[in-house]
Parts: sequence; structure tokens; C-alpha cells
Amino acid sequence: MKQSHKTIGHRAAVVASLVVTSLALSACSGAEPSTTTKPTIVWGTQVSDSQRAVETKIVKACGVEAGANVTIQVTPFSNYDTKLSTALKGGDAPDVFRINWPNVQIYHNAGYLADLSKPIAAGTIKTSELIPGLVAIGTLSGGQYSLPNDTDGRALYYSPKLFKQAGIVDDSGNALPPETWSDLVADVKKFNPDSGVYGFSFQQQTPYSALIEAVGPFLKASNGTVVSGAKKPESVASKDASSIAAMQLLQNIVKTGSVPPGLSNMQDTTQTNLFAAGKLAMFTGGPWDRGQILDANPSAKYGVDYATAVIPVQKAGEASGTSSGGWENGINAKSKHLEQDYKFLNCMESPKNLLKQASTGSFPPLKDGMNQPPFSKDPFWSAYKKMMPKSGTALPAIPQLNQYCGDYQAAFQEIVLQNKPVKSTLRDFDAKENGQVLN
Amino acid sequence: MTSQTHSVLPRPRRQRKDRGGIWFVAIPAVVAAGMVGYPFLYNLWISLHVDRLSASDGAWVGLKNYIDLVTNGSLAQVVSTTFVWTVACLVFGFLIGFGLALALDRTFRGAGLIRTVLLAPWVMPGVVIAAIWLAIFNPIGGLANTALDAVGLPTHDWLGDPATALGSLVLVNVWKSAPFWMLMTSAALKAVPAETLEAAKLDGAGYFKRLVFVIVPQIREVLVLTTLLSFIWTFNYFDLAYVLTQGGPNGATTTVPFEIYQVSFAYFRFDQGAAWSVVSFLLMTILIVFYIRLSRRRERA
Amino acid sequence: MSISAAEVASSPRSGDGAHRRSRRRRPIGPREVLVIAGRSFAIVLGLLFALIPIYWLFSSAFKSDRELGQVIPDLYPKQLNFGQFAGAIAAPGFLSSLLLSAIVALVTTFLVLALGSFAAYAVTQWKFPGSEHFVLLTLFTQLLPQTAVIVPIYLLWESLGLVGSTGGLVLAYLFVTLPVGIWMLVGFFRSIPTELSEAGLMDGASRFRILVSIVLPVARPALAAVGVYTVISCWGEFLIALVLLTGGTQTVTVNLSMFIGEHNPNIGPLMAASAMATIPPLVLFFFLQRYFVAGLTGGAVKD
Repeated sequence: MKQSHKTIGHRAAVVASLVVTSLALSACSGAEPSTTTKPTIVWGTQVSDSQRAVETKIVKACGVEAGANVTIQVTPFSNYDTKLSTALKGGDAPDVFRINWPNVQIYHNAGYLADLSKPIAAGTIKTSELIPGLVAIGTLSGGQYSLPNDTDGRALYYSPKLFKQAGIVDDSGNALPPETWSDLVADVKKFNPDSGVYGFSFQQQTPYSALIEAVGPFLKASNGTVVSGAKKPESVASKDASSIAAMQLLQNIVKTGSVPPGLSNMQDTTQTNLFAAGKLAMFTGGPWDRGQILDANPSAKYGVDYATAVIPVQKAGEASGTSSGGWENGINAKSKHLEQDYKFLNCMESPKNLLKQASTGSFPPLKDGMNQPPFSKDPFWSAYKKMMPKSGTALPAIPQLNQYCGDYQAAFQEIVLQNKPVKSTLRDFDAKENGQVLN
Repeated sequence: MTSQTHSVLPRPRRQRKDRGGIWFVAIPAVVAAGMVGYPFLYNLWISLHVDRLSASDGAWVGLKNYIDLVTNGSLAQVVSTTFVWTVACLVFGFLIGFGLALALDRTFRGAGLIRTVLLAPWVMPGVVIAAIWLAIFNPIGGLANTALDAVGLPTHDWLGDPATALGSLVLVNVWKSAPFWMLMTSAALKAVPAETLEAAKLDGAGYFKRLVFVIVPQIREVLVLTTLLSFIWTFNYFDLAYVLTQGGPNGATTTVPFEIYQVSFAYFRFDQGAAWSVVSFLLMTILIVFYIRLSRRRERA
Repeated sequence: MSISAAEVASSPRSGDGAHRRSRRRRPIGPREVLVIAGRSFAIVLGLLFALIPIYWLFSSAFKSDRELGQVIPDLYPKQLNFGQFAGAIAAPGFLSSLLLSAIVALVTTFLVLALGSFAAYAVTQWKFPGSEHFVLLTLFTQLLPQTAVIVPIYLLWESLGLVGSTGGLVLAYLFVTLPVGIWMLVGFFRSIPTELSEAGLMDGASRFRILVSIVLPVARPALAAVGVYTVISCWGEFLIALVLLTGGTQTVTVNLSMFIGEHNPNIGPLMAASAMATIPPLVLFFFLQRYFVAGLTGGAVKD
């Protein structure tokens, strides 16, 4: 079957032009508009869809204030560091971007972050309203390399309804959340899993969950530490008395049997769903868990179906604290328009904007933050507010933080879920960390 | 083979066209060589230096990263887990996919629709698969345990128990990849000459005899190809471990590609990640050369 | 083990021997019933296996937030709630991500089929020295896992100025899928008898024309299979798209990940968006079905 030259050549030409056109169109769509007068600040973030509208508004307004156009680059949260670290390696990262608090030091070590001490000293970036402890996260090797965007904490969520049913009440008949660790274990025992209600739960969704979500709150409440020394960090999980005691506490809680199945892979939403359904009496959680509870049970009322209390303390009468986290904002050291970046960052760090961005899942890093609405008016926040003076990160932001937390979680699961002895397992853990990881 | 009994004229034309053939292949060959060489050499280079987002990045450390891999990185465990994972996925993926291809080999009404529906698992993006199966495997209220409960069988913490975690991931991956086997073997089955099959049928060969002695040898080429590709892809697939179990519990689902991801992008130890990549590459190269030699030998037999 | 036509003609026929009909209709013996039953059983099992999780996806997509938050979820939603779909469509960038993924997948597939069939044709029909090694070389491009490859690719693309452009993404996908496409096509093309090209050559056609008018039509099932594979690979690829795209538009896979934030995952809209994202490749495959069904040589070579 013969076909004429003309048809073949014609066909080939059509096909070729289609290919060329499509490639050309494709290549063009990536180009960004450039103006000769106004630089473009690329803002990198991992904000979730629900927060995006608020953040976009603020970002655009800050761009105007900085005298620049703004492009927003959003990355899914779970892959944020993959993309950011790759982009920073290639020198093509956003100009101003969010950094998760554990990673500030490591990005600084690699030289990716711009030093903010000069613009701060000159007053271009105002930091007087920020909580000093949070600013300190970015104070490294004599300079300032990031500023806090928000902070959070873990409180004890408990169900007043379930507590009243179990008879855990004070003299006036109100639900009485546990004050001390022994109170906590006693209360957990009062909930019978056979009747379908568990006493306590903690999530294990990420490799940080053990140290930051489960043990961390109790660790900080009892002034414990697992990593000591800023210059030459050492793992002291088996040497610090509070660290051992906190681990023992959680082992005891799990031993009561009044914990939900599948703890080793417990997802945060499973936990809040259980709680919202009235099947879980207590768990440690952050402000974001409220939203999840309300999603599952829109009619849940604070003080009736759910309430927050400070983390139980080791000895009665001590002040409580909790482990905190949060996001930082940093500037790309290789940015081509640092002056505009400083102004932009200053605007993002203004108390007004910080307040707007926090409030659903975190609180603002401001000295006076918790006294502003909605934090001041809503009883939900009072527990977090009470713990703030003694709140802090569960461990310093050492470069090996991610691996340390992952290994800690493995040891945690061995102790708490498989009932291995606390001290010797922690000793092995310390030996491994000090020998292989922290050196 | 027809013989060339043409005059002189067509021959020069043939030579010219043959030279053109080189270009058909040379350009992709050069590109392919680049695509293999560049990432491999990059990883090799990085693995011999420090690269961990530290001030001393770029310093030469020789084989230290590789030694660390053996002493600290539990090389043996990760590699063996990866093998178990890969072989299990291959075996079950093949059995189910090929079985479905055979079952759908007839043209009956609705075959097209059924084939399309069966392809759906393969088409779904990783994040969706993970969300669904995480819900299914949820020890509290997940579909798996609820179904088992309804039938009176014991429930289990599928993803949280080191003994069943890897098996659960294999199940999910087989669910996802069996359609690929079905796709490849389906197309190959179409190439089995009907005359040979009819002849075998008339010869008195039953279904399974026909399957083993006629069909399988005919599609051998495609089977070898699909096995090889599947092996490589399954070996390198880590999405499920990443979202469903994060490599746990106790490293039960930590395979080589997951380790590379975790070490590079979670721990920021790009140097160690690169060492893992080089080891993975070399390991697979050895296996593939082995496999190809083996299949060549069988082909000649 | 091959059977020649002569043997077929002379061998005795088996069967229950009840009635001797012509070559077309044979009585359905017990063995055949078993085979048909086996086939149906396999198909039903396969459908269940494939569909149960998919059903879960779709039923979740129609549930309300409250139903999704139940500890023991219901098997089906109380009523068909379209709110999650509305949420998915309203989600920033979702619809444009579908478009971008489609464009990238189609352009890449076209290029893979075009370039791949050229290369496969050259390797199988010309059989010049070195072609075997070339095929092996394409295999080696797959050996490194993606996570080991994205950093070097990013660095190279960055120096070429390809980061952030769709064309750059297509090029990256091409590099990842072309070797496999070539390999699969070589595997299929090998079974195309060289007599076809020889016949074309005798007719005086150029290699290119032989490829386009003789070989390609015969290789349609192979092209369909490789085309489907390439489209699906591109549609489902995540890491490279994550790293190479910087502007507002994302691909479907990256956009779906946006539904799961640090906290408060948006499960309902994620399920709805995922359900919607699964449909385009399936529709494409459904329409390419018939190319699988068509025979391979269809009597092109009579010997």
C-alpha cells in the first residue's frame, strides 16, 4: 500500500509543528513578569488551604509596603523541606521563606540564611514585641538568622462529660483534670476499655511525635532535658532524672491497658475522632486539635464535651510547662534585593499581622500576644497561656535533630509499647546517639 | 529471507538510510548515557565528601560514608527487607495480573469496561492510595478490621505490628501494580498466534498445558521485560513506606529507597544518602547482569 | 515447541467424540466449563480486589465531614453529599492542576512514542552492531531511585534555566520515561517480522515511510500500551514535579498533597479531588482499549 510523498511529508510537518508549538507554549508559561523598577519577592510557604486566603492577603499587603511585587510559592507541608533544601542547594530558593524551627540552625550552618542583625539594629526590622525566648531560636553564632512566625504548645485535652461520668470531680461537682502524674495514672485507670472508653492517648503520626508530642510536655513540665550542651550536644536521656521519670510515666499509662489499640501508628485525626465520639477521655494535643474535634462533632461545646488543662506536673504545686514548636521566617542569603526583603519581613513580623496569622492552630510569638483577642477572651487558650512561661522546645535545634527524634521514637516505642526496661533502653539509646549521631 | 537481486541503484540508497539509522539511536543513546552517568557520578562524588548542610560541606572523607553505612546504617537489614519486599510484590503482582489478563483474553461484551476498571488502582496517585489504605488499615474502625470483625476473625494492628507491616505494604503495592502486569501481558497475549493455540487444542492439550507450553513461551520476551522493569521499579518504590508507616515499626518497612529519602531529606545527610544510592545502583546492576545472563542462557537452551 | 500445519492436519482429534462437527463448533466439554467458570471467578475476584478501595474512595468523597469523622465509618454515606466536591473544586489551583498534568502527560507521551518508535525500529529492524547494548543502557537509566536523582536533575536544570517552566518539566519526564518506552517498544517490535520492512524496501520506500505506514499500524497495541504507561507515569509522578515547578500552577499529584497540611487534614475534599483526578487517565485508557484487542499481524505476511 503506497502513500504519496506529499501525504507523508505533510503529515510529518503538521506533527512537527504541533510539537514545536506545544513545547514553545509550555516553556513560555513558566516565565515570570519582570519590571525594571520593582523587584519580585518570592515568598515560600507551606500554608494549608484553609489558612491560605488570610496569608495571601497579608503577603500581598507586605509586598506593597516593601515596594515590590510578590510571587507566592506554596509547597505541601510534608514535602516542604525536600523542596526547600533542594532549591537552596541549587541557589534558586524563594527570597523570604518559612522554616520549621528544628531546621533553622542547619540551614544557617550551610550558609543559606541572611544575617538580620544589621537591619534589626538599624530599626528596619522591629523585634521589640517578640518573645525573647522565641527570637533566641534564630540567634546563632552571634547573629540573627530567623524571626519567629508563630508558636504553639501541647495541653491536656480532657472530656468533662466523661470525667463526670467516671466520678472524677471536685467538691462542686465539676470535672477535675489531673494535677500530678500520679493523679493522671489514677484517672486513666478509672476508664474501662471494655466499656469502649479509653483513658489516654498520644499520637505517633510523625517521627517527632514521641519526643515532641508524647514525652515532651511532661519533660518540660518537670524541667527535664534529653540533650544538653549547645556547643557539643550530648544525649542525656538516661541520665536526666525527669527524662527517665517521664518515660516511666508513659509506660505506666500504657500498662493500665486503658489506651486505644494501634498506638504505634496512631494518627492525630484518629485520636481526635475517638475523643469527639466520647470514646477517649484524655490526650495531649495542640490548638489545632480543636478544629479536628469540631469537624467530627460540630456541636461539641468547650467545657462540656472538651476542655484543656495544663500538663500534669511531677510534684504537686509546681508550675506547669509544655513542649512548643512553631515556624520561623528567614531570608535567603543569596537574594538579589535584600533591602526590600528586610522591609517585607518587618511587615510580616508586625504584631498586627502575626495576630492575624495565628489564632486557629497556633499563637503569636508576641510578649503580649495572649492578652489580645481572641486569645484573651476564649477560655480554650487559658491552659496554654498558663504554661507559656515554662514552655520551650523539647530539645535544642541541633543539626541532627531529625535523626535524634526518629531514634528517640524507636526507643520510646520499645519502652512504652513493648514494655522494655526504661533505664537500660535509654542507656543504649544514649550510647548510639552519642557514638554515631551527635558526633 | 528474500535476497537482494536488485540493480545497483537501490544499494547506495540503502547505505544512506542505514547511516540515518545511527542517528535514530545515537542521540537517545548519548542522552541515556548522560542520564545514567550524570546522576550516578554526582552521587558518587557527593558520597566521597561531606554534604550535610554544615559548615564543612565539600570536605573529602573518602570511604567514610560507606563504612558508616555498614556500621551504623544497618545495611544488611535494609537490603534484606528490600529484597523480601520486591520479590513478594513481583510474585503476587505477576500471579494476579497475569491471571486477570488470561481471564480477559476473550472479547466479550464489557471486557473493555472491566479492563478499564481494573486499571484504576494503577492510575491513582500515591498520596491518594496512601490516604485510602491508611483508612482501611486503621486498627480502629478501618475497613479491614471491621470486615474481619464482621466475619468473626481476629482483628489486628496491620501497620503497627512489625510482623505484618511489610505484608500490608506488599498487599497495597500488589493492588496497585497488578494492573501493570495485566496491561503488559494482555498486549503480549494478543501476539500469540491463534494457529499455534488451535493446533495445541486439537492435539489434546488441556488449558494448563496450553498455558505452560504454548502461551508462556510465546510471551517470554514480554515476561522477561516486565519482570525486569517491575523489579527495578518495585525496588525503588518507597511512597507507601513513607506515608503509611514512615519506615517503621522498628524499621520493618525501611527499604533502600526509603532510607535514601529519609537520610537525605529528613536527616539532611545528603552524603550518606548518596552512599546509599551508589550501593543501591551497584547492587541492582549486579543483579540485572546476573538475570540477563540467566535468561540468555535459558533462551539458548 | 512448534507445530506445523501438516501435523495439525494429520493428528487425531480429541474430545468426547459424541458428534464430529466442522472445525468451528466443538461441543463444550467439562474442561471448557471449568475454564469459563475459572475465568469468571477470576474476573469477579479481580474486580472486588480492585474496586473495594476505590469504592471506599468514592463513598468517602460523598460523605459529610461529620461522617468522615466517625470512629467506625459507615459503609456508605447517608446521602450523596456534594459538598466535598465543591470544596475540592474551590481549592486553590486544583482545576488548573488537572489541566497542567494533562498537557504535560500528553506532550511527553507524544514525544516518547515518536522518538521511541524511531529508536525501537532502528534497533529491531536494522539490527546494526551495538543495538543490543543500547537497549541495556536504557535499562540502566531506571536503576537510581527518584530520590537520588532529583537533586542532580534540579542542579542541572537550574543551570540550564529550565526550573519553573512546563517545558522543563516535560523534558525531565521525557528523560525518565523515554528509556522505558524505548525498551518496551523494542520488546514489542522484536515480534514484528522483518519481512514487512523488507517488502517495503523492495517496493522502494524510505525507512521513514516504512516506519510510519507499515510498522506503526501493525504495532498499534504496543504503541497503545506504551502510550498508556507513559501517560499514567506522568500523571502520577510527584517528586520531580514538586521540585521543578515553582510558579503558582502545580501538577495534580502535588496539588492533592496540599490538602494535607501540617494539621487538620482536609480529608473530605482530598477524597473528592482524588476521585476526580483518577478519572481522566481511565477515560483515556478506555478509548485506547480497541488497539489492544486488534490482532498483531492480521495476515500481513503469508508464508
